[in-house]
Amino acid sequence: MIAEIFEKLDQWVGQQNAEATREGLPAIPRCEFRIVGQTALMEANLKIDLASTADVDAMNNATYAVIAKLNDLLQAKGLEYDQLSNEIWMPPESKYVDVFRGTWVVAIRAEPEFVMLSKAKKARAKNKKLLQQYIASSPPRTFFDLCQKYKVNLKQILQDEP
Amino acid sequence: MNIEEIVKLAKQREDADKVKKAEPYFVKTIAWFHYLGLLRHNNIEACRHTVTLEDALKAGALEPRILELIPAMIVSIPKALKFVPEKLPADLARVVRNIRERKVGIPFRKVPARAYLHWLNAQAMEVAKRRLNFRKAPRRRVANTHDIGDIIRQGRINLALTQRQLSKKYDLSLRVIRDLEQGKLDASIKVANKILAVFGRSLNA
Repeated sequence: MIAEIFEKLDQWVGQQNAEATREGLPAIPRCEFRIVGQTALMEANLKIDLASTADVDAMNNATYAVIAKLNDLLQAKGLEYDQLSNEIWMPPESKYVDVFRGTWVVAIRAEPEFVMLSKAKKARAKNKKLLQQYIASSPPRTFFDLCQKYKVNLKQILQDEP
Repeated sequence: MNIEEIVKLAKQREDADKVKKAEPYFVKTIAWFHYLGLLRHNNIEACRHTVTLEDALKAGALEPRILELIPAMIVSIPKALKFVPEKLPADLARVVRNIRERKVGIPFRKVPARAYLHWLNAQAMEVAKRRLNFRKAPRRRVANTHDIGDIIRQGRINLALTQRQLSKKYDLSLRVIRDLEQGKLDASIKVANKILAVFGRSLNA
Protein backbone atom coordinates (compact mmCIF):
# COMPACT_ATOMS: atom_id res chain seq x y z
CA MET A 1 0.00 0.00 0.00
CA ILE A 2 2.81 2.44 0.88
CA ALA A 3 4.58 1.82 -2.43
CA GLU A 4 1.33 2.55 -4.27
CA ILE A 5 0.98 5.87 -2.42
CA PHE A 6 4.51 6.95 -3.33
CA GLU A 7 3.92 5.91 -6.94
CA LYS A 8 0.91 8.23 -7.06
CA LEU A 9 2.99 10.98 -5.45
CA ASP A 10 5.67 10.52 -8.10
CA GLN A 11 3.04 10.80 -10.86
CA TRP A 12 1.69 13.98 -9.26
CA VAL A 13 5.14 15.59 -9.03
CA GLY A 14 5.73 14.60 -12.67
CA GLN A 15 2.52 16.34 -13.73
CA GLN A 16 3.34 19.44 -11.70
CA ASN A 17 6.80 19.62 -13.22
CA ALA A 18 5.50 19.18 -16.75
CA GLU A 19 3.14 22.09 -16.15
CA ALA A 20 5.92 24.17 -14.56
CA THR A 21 8.21 23.56 -17.56
CA ARG A 22 5.46 24.72 -19.95
CA GLU A 23 4.98 27.89 -17.93
CA GLY A 24 8.70 28.53 -17.42
CA LEU A 25 8.53 28.02 -13.67
CA PRO A 26 11.07 26.14 -11.52
CA ALA A 27 10.45 22.42 -11.16
CA ILE A 28 9.93 20.58 -7.89
CA PRO A 29 13.25 18.93 -7.04
CA ARG A 30 13.60 15.16 -6.73
CA CYS A 31 12.92 14.12 -3.15
CA GLU A 32 13.60 11.18 -0.89
CA PHE A 33 11.41 9.77 1.89
CA ARG A 34 12.97 7.57 4.55
CA ILE A 35 10.20 5.56 6.16
CA VAL A 36 10.95 4.77 9.77
CA GLY A 37 8.97 3.87 12.90
CA GLN A 38 6.13 1.37 12.98
CA THR A 39 5.36 1.79 9.28
CA ALA A 40 8.88 0.60 8.41
CA LEU A 41 8.38 -2.44 10.64
CA MET A 42 4.98 -3.18 9.09
CA GLU A 43 6.47 -2.95 5.60
CA ALA A 44 9.27 -5.33 6.60
CA ASN A 45 6.70 -8.07 7.34
CA LEU A 46 8.32 -8.98 10.65
CA LYS A 47 7.06 -12.16 12.26
CA ILE A 48 5.95 -10.38 15.41
CA ASP A 49 2.68 -8.72 16.46
CA LEU A 50 2.71 -5.12 15.33
CA ALA A 51 0.24 -2.39 16.11
CA SER A 52 0.58 0.99 14.55
CA THR A 53 -1.35 4.23 14.80
CA ALA A 54 -2.44 6.11 11.69
CA ASP A 55 0.76 8.17 11.78
CA VAL A 56 3.37 7.52 9.11
CA ASP A 57 6.91 8.61 9.99
CA ALA A 58 8.89 9.54 6.90
CA MET A 59 12.06 11.64 7.18
CA ASN A 60 12.39 13.63 3.98
CA ASN A 61 13.88 16.53 2.05
CA ALA A 62 10.61 17.35 0.25
CA THR A 63 9.00 20.74 -0.21
CA TYR A 64 5.81 21.75 1.59
CA ALA A 65 3.64 21.15 -1.49
CA VAL A 66 4.90 17.58 -1.90
CA ILE A 67 4.36 16.82 1.78
CA ALA A 68 0.85 18.26 1.62
CA LYS A 69 0.07 16.05 -1.39
CA LEU A 70 1.55 13.02 0.37
CA ASN A 71 -0.68 13.74 3.35
CA ASP A 72 -3.74 13.87 1.05
CA LEU A 73 -2.81 10.51 -0.45
CA LEU A 74 -2.20 8.99 2.98
CA GLN A 75 -5.49 10.33 4.32
CA ALA A 76 -7.37 8.63 1.49
CA LYS A 77 -6.03 5.37 2.95
CA GLY A 78 -6.84 6.30 6.55
CA LEU A 79 -3.23 7.27 7.35
CA GLU A 80 -1.57 10.54 8.22
CA TYR A 81 1.91 12.04 7.74
CA ASP A 82 3.60 12.77 11.06
CA GLN A 83 4.71 16.40 10.92
CA LEU A 84 7.51 15.67 13.39
CA SER A 85 9.05 13.00 11.15
CA ASN A 86 12.27 14.92 10.58
CA GLU A 87 12.92 15.07 14.33
CA ILE A 88 13.23 11.29 14.66
CA TRP A 89 16.66 10.04 15.62
CA MET A 90 18.11 7.23 13.52
CA PRO A 91 21.67 5.93 13.84
CA PRO A 92 23.89 7.32 11.05
CA GLU A 93 24.86 3.83 9.89
CA SER A 94 21.18 2.88 9.30
CA LYS A 95 20.55 0.74 6.24
CA TYR A 96 17.54 1.28 4.02
CA VAL A 97 15.85 -0.79 1.33
CA ASP A 98 13.81 0.42 -1.62
CA VAL A 99 10.05 0.69 -1.30
CA PHE A 100 9.52 2.73 -4.44
CA ARG A 101 11.92 4.39 -6.86
CA GLY A 102 10.36 6.82 -9.29
CA THR A 103 11.59 9.67 -11.46
CA TRP A 104 10.86 12.33 -8.86
CA VAL A 105 10.14 10.49 -5.65
CA VAL A 106 12.18 7.83 -3.91
CA ALA A 107 10.84 5.99 -0.86
CA ILE A 108 13.07 3.75 1.21
CA ARG A 109 12.45 2.06 4.53
CA ALA A 110 14.84 1.49 7.38
CA GLU A 111 15.79 -2.08 8.23
CA PRO A 112 14.08 -3.31 11.42
CA GLU A 113 17.22 -3.55 13.59
CA PHE A 114 17.91 0.17 13.13
CA VAL A 115 14.28 1.12 13.80
CA MET A 116 14.33 -0.99 16.94
CA LEU A 117 17.55 0.61 18.12
CA SER A 118 15.98 4.04 17.64
CA LYS A 119 12.98 2.95 19.71
CA ALA A 120 15.15 1.43 22.44
CA LYS A 121 17.29 4.56 22.67
CA LYS A 122 14.60 7.24 22.44
CA ALA A 123 11.24 5.76 23.51
CA ARG A 124 11.88 2.72 25.64
CA ALA A 125 8.80 2.97 27.88
CA LYS A 126 6.40 3.03 24.94
CA ASN A 127 8.22 0.24 23.15
CA LYS A 128 9.20 -2.07 26.01
CA LYS A 129 6.79 -4.83 24.95
CA LEU A 130 7.67 -4.44 21.30
CA LEU A 131 11.38 -4.70 22.07
CA GLN A 132 10.73 -7.71 24.27
CA GLN A 133 8.93 -9.41 21.39
CA TYR A 134 11.64 -8.46 18.91
CA ILE A 135 14.45 -9.76 21.12
CA ALA A 136 12.52 -12.98 21.75
CA SER A 137 12.33 -13.49 17.97
CA SER A 138 16.16 -13.83 17.85
CA PRO A 139 17.04 -10.72 15.84
CA PRO A 140 20.29 -10.36 13.86
CA ARG A 141 23.54 -9.87 15.74
CA THR A 142 23.76 -6.32 14.31
CA PHE A 143 20.97 -5.24 16.62
CA PHE A 144 22.89 -6.27 19.74
CA ASP A 145 26.11 -4.71 18.43
CA LEU A 146 24.27 -1.46 17.78
CA CYS A 147 22.77 -1.51 21.28
CA GLN A 148 26.24 -1.96 22.73
CA LYS A 149 27.64 0.84 20.59
CA TYR A 150 24.88 3.28 21.60
CA LYS A 151 24.88 2.17 25.25
CA VAL A 152 21.37 0.76 25.30
CA ASN A 153 20.92 -1.60 28.23
CA LEU A 154 18.47 -4.20 26.92
CA LYS A 155 18.45 -6.20 30.13
CA GLN A 156 17.37 -3.14 32.05
CA ILE A 157 14.62 -2.39 29.51
CA LEU A 158 13.29 -5.93 29.86
CA GLN A 159 13.32 -5.62 33.64
CA ASP A 160 11.68 -2.18 33.72
CA GLU A 161 8.40 -1.95 35.58
CA PRO A 162 5.43 -2.06 33.19
CA MET B 1 26.40 -7.98 27.04
CA ASN B 2 25.35 -11.62 27.23
CA ILE B 3 23.08 -12.00 24.24
CA GLU B 4 21.87 -15.49 25.09
CA GLU B 5 20.84 -14.41 28.57
CA ILE B 6 18.92 -11.41 27.19
CA VAL B 7 17.13 -13.47 24.54
CA LYS B 8 16.21 -16.06 27.18
CA LEU B 9 14.81 -13.37 29.48
CA ALA B 10 12.82 -11.82 26.61
CA LYS B 11 11.42 -15.23 25.66
CA GLN B 12 10.28 -15.93 29.22
CA ARG B 13 8.47 -12.60 29.43
CA GLU B 14 7.05 -12.92 25.95
CA ASP B 15 5.58 -16.35 26.74
CA ALA B 16 3.67 -14.81 29.64
CA ASP B 17 2.46 -11.90 27.49
CA LYS B 18 1.38 -14.19 24.64
CA VAL B 19 -1.32 -15.65 26.89
CA LYS B 20 -2.61 -12.15 27.72
CA LYS B 21 -2.54 -11.12 24.05
CA ALA B 22 -4.81 -14.03 23.16
CA GLU B 23 -7.43 -12.95 25.68
CA PRO B 24 -10.70 -11.50 24.33
CA TYR B 25 -10.27 -8.08 25.99
CA PHE B 26 -7.02 -7.50 24.09
CA VAL B 27 -8.11 -8.92 20.73
CA LYS B 28 -11.47 -7.12 20.81
CA THR B 29 -9.87 -3.79 21.74
CA ILE B 30 -7.35 -3.97 18.91
CA ALA B 31 -10.05 -5.11 16.46
CA TRP B 32 -12.34 -2.22 17.47
CA PHE B 33 -9.58 0.41 17.30
CA HIS B 34 -8.62 -1.08 13.93
CA TYR B 35 -12.20 -0.77 12.70
CA LEU B 36 -12.26 2.87 13.79
CA GLY B 37 -9.07 3.46 11.78
CA LEU B 38 -7.11 4.51 14.86
CA LEU B 39 -4.80 1.50 14.89
CA ARG B 40 -3.52 -1.00 12.36
CA HIS B 41 -2.46 -4.49 13.34
CA ASN B 42 -0.69 -7.10 11.26
CA ASN B 43 -2.40 -10.10 12.92
CA ILE B 44 -5.78 -8.91 14.19
CA GLU B 45 -8.58 -8.08 11.75
CA ALA B 46 -10.85 -5.07 12.21
CA CYS B 47 -14.20 -5.80 13.80
CA ARG B 48 -17.20 -3.64 14.59
CA HIS B 49 -17.70 -4.40 18.25
CA THR B 50 -17.57 -1.60 20.83
CA VAL B 51 -15.40 -2.33 23.86
CA THR B 52 -15.49 -1.05 27.42
CA LEU B 53 -13.05 1.58 28.62
CA GLU B 54 -11.95 -0.90 31.28
CA ASP B 55 -10.92 -3.44 28.63
CA ALA B 56 -9.19 -0.77 26.57
CA LEU B 57 -7.17 0.42 29.56
CA LYS B 58 -6.23 -3.16 30.39
CA ALA B 59 -5.17 -3.75 26.78
CA GLY B 60 -3.18 -0.51 26.96
CA ALA B 61 -0.85 -2.13 29.47
CA LEU B 62 0.22 -4.51 26.70
CA GLU B 63 0.07 -2.03 23.83
CA PRO B 64 0.79 1.57 24.97
CA ARG B 65 -0.40 2.97 21.63
CA ILE B 66 -3.91 2.27 22.91
CA LEU B 67 -3.28 4.47 25.96
CA GLU B 68 -2.05 7.22 23.65
CA LEU B 69 -5.46 7.33 21.95
CA ILE B 70 -7.82 6.99 24.92
CA PRO B 71 -7.83 10.60 26.28
CA ALA B 72 -8.63 12.02 22.82
CA MET B 73 -11.32 9.37 22.30
CA ILE B 74 -13.00 10.24 25.61
CA VAL B 75 -13.06 13.92 24.61
CA SER B 76 -13.79 13.68 20.87
CA ILE B 77 -15.67 10.38 20.36
CA PRO B 78 -16.95 9.27 23.78
CA LYS B 79 -19.42 6.87 22.14
CA ALA B 80 -16.49 4.80 20.90
CA LEU B 81 -15.94 3.33 24.37
CA LYS B 82 -18.46 2.03 26.87
CA PHE B 83 -18.03 3.85 30.17
CA VAL B 84 -19.87 5.81 32.84
CA PRO B 85 -18.57 9.41 32.77
CA GLU B 86 -18.91 9.78 36.53
CA LYS B 87 -16.84 6.66 37.10
CA LEU B 88 -13.76 7.45 35.02
CA PRO B 89 -10.53 6.30 36.69
CA ALA B 90 -9.11 9.24 38.67
CA ASP B 91 -5.95 9.66 36.54
CA LEU B 92 -7.91 9.64 33.29
CA ALA B 93 -10.56 12.00 34.70
CA ARG B 94 -7.79 14.46 35.61
CA VAL B 95 -6.28 14.26 32.13
CA VAL B 96 -9.68 14.76 30.48
CA ARG B 97 -10.48 17.71 32.76
CA ASN B 98 -7.14 19.33 31.90
CA ILE B 99 -7.86 18.90 28.19
CA ARG B 100 -11.34 20.42 28.49
CA GLU B 101 -10.10 23.31 30.60
CA ARG B 102 -7.10 23.80 28.31
CA LYS B 103 -4.67 23.42 31.20
CA VAL B 104 -1.09 22.19 30.87
CA GLY B 105 -1.05 18.51 29.94
CA ILE B 106 0.09 15.92 32.43
CA PRO B 107 1.43 12.44 31.59
CA PHE B 108 -1.16 9.67 31.43
CA ARG B 109 0.15 6.27 32.55
CA LYS B 110 3.66 7.06 31.26
CA VAL B 111 2.29 8.51 28.00
CA PRO B 112 3.62 12.08 27.70
CA ALA B 113 0.99 14.81 27.24
CA ARG B 114 2.42 15.70 23.81
CA ALA B 115 1.74 12.16 22.57
CA TYR B 116 -1.95 12.01 23.52
CA LEU B 117 -2.76 15.69 22.84
CA HIS B 118 -1.59 15.18 19.25
CA TRP B 119 -4.64 12.94 18.61
CA LEU B 120 -7.18 15.60 19.59
CA ASN B 121 -6.95 17.41 16.26
CA ALA B 122 -5.81 14.49 14.15
CA GLN B 123 -7.61 13.53 10.97
CA ALA B 124 -7.74 9.96 12.31
CA MET B 125 -10.23 11.07 15.00
CA GLU B 126 -12.49 12.53 12.31
CA VAL B 127 -12.31 9.28 10.36
CA ALA B 128 -13.10 7.35 13.55
CA LYS B 129 -16.10 9.62 14.17
CA ARG B 130 -17.46 8.88 10.70
CA ARG B 131 -16.86 5.13 11.02
CA LEU B 132 -18.60 5.14 14.37
CA ASN B 133 -21.70 6.61 12.77
CA PHE B 134 -21.98 4.09 9.94
CA ARG B 135 -25.09 1.96 10.09
CA LYS B 136 -24.76 -1.79 9.90
CA ALA B 137 -25.14 -3.45 6.49
CA PRO B 138 -28.71 -4.16 5.36
CA ARG B 139 -29.76 -7.82 5.69
CA ARG B 140 -31.64 -8.27 2.38
CA ARG B 141 -29.42 -8.79 -0.63
CA VAL B 142 -29.85 -10.22 -4.11
CA ALA B 143 -27.41 -13.07 -4.70
CA ASN B 144 -25.83 -11.97 -8.00
CA THR B 145 -24.87 -8.48 -6.81
CA HIS B 146 -24.11 -9.54 -3.26
CA ASP B 147 -20.31 -9.71 -3.65
CA ILE B 148 -20.07 -6.45 -5.58
CA GLY B 149 -22.21 -4.71 -2.97
CA ASP B 150 -19.96 -6.02 -0.19
CA ILE B 151 -16.81 -4.89 -1.95
CA ILE B 152 -18.21 -1.42 -2.59
CA ARG B 153 -19.56 -1.00 0.92
CA GLN B 154 -16.38 -2.27 2.59
CA GLY B 155 -14.17 -0.17 0.32
CA ARG B 156 -16.27 2.90 1.01
CA ILE B 157 -16.13 2.29 4.78
CA ASN B 158 -12.36 1.92 4.55
CA LEU B 159 -12.20 5.32 2.90
CA ALA B 160 -14.59 6.62 5.58
CA LEU B 161 -16.92 8.12 2.98
CA THR B 162 -20.68 8.26 2.87
CA GLN B 163 -22.42 7.07 -0.30
CA ARG B 164 -22.99 10.71 -1.27
CA GLN B 165 -19.34 11.65 -0.66
CA LEU B 166 -18.16 8.66 -2.71
CA SER B 167 -20.44 9.58 -5.60
CA LYS B 168 -19.26 13.21 -5.59
CA LYS B 169 -15.58 12.49 -5.10
CA TYR B 170 -15.37 9.94 -7.94
CA ASP B 171 -18.18 11.28 -10.14
CA LEU B 172 -20.36 8.18 -9.78
CA SER B 173 -24.11 7.83 -9.65
CA LEU B 174 -25.40 7.93 -6.08
CA ARG B 175 -28.42 5.82 -7.05
CA VAL B 176 -26.26 3.07 -8.59
CA ILE B 177 -23.93 2.97 -5.57
CA ARG B 178 -26.92 2.75 -3.23
CA ASP B 179 -28.66 0.03 -5.23
CA LEU B 180 -25.51 -2.05 -5.71
CA GLU B 181 -24.73 -1.92 -2.00
CA GLN B 182 -28.24 -3.09 -1.20
CA GLY B 183 -28.04 -5.81 -3.84
CA LYS B 184 -31.00 -4.37 -5.71
CA LEU B 185 -29.53 -3.67 -9.13
CA ASP B 186 -27.96 -5.66 -11.93
CA ALA B 187 -25.65 -2.89 -13.10
CA SER B 188 -23.94 -2.99 -16.49
CA ILE B 189 -20.39 -4.41 -16.44
CA LYS B 190 -19.06 -1.01 -17.48
CA VAL B 191 -20.75 0.83 -14.60
CA ALA B 192 -19.88 -1.84 -12.02
CA ASN B 193 -16.25 -1.81 -13.15
CA LYS B 194 -16.13 1.99 -12.93
CA ILE B 195 -17.17 1.84 -9.28
CA LEU B 196 -15.00 -1.17 -8.44
CA ALA B 197 -11.99 0.61 -9.98
CA VAL B 198 -12.15 3.15 -7.13
CA PHE B 199 -11.20 0.31 -4.78
CA GLY B 200 -8.64 -1.19 -7.16
CA ARG B 201 -10.95 -4.09 -8.13
CA SER B 202 -12.74 -5.21 -11.26
CA LEU B 203 -15.26 -7.87 -12.24
CA ASN B 204 -12.36 -9.94 -13.61
CA ALA B 205 -10.28 -9.69 -10.41
